[in-house]
Amino acid sequence: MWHGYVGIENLALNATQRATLVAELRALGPESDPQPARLNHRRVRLDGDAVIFEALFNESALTVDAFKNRLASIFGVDPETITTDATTHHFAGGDTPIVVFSRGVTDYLRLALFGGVSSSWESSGDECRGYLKLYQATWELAE
Amino acid sequence: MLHGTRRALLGARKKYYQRVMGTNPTAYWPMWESSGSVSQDLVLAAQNGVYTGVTLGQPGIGDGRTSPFFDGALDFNDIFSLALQGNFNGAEGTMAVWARVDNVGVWVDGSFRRIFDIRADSNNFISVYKSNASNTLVWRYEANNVSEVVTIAGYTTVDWMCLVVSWSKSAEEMRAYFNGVQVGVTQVALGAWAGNLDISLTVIGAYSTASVTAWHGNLAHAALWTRPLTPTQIASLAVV
Repeated sequence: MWHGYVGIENLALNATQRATLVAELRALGPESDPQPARLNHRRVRLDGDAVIFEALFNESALTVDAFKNRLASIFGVDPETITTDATTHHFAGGDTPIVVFSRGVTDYLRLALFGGVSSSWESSGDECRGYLKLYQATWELAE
Repeated sequence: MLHGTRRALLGARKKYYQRVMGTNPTAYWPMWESSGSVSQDLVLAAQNGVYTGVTLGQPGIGDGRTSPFFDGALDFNDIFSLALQGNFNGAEGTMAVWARVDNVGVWVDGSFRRIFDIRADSNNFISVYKSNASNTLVWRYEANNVSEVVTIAGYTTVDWMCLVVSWSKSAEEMRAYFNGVQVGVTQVALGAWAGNLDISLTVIGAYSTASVTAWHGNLAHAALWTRPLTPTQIASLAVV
């Protein structure tokens, strides 16, 4: 199990597809836990097209194949038709894998595993906070 | 027996939460739970808050109790309730919260971070927050779009801070306090509060239940009164 932060950004999913994906991701993590931090909770970007989740995740639910299968199910297609492009970003000194899921020439989803699934909760949080600071204009209200 | 007699004569010192309760708050969330999602209001259960994402059971202010850690990203304590909405007084009151930053870097992280925000709308709200300007705290009372602001720079502490704001329309005064001592000048000529507390904008540790401008560090002993406490009472609140 991994306690950390996961972000998704919608690139071309329609409203129904996006809602289906978000509903599936909201179901990840424990049904109960003494700590609110480990229960699945989320924050939505101001434009509604990105979500950050925090929970105690089963790592098997966060693999590239797991997301390919989710998207394939949403599209009703073979998962092998979903392609990926992976990079690594550094928002606060850590390593955050970022994967873009595409089909054909269209990018549909960007996934960020803040700090990576081997990171500590603290490191994942640092990467997430670093990301939020970098993109403050789209995640925070102007004062 | 002598020891017991001496104790009986001198009296046992009241615990911190007992001293807070002795001031007859309208609401009081000590935030000392070790588990669960409920933030208990010691005054009225109907005013209990709901935690999202916090890590409970972290070191407290030194009163033998614990506090929650807020991650500066997704966490908050939603204290809205219909009971609180009915009991809140936008014209006369005091709000106190103990806060500490997670590390000294939070003071210079360039982000607004709310310690609490009690809001009817954008023209009627009370808030204490860390500014995006380095090392700066802001105490703000806004009523009917008339803004009273106390801004103090120079903070670098990673220790607990007792932050209090009091407001009184009848006295035309708003005051800001840091660790029991008034900071800045008394603000005068307050606006007339209008509106009821908003369901998503009555929060400890963030601007709203959307986790915007979330606090990064610990918060504890949040209390609300429907009258301005005296400087002497506020000084006492800052002593653990």
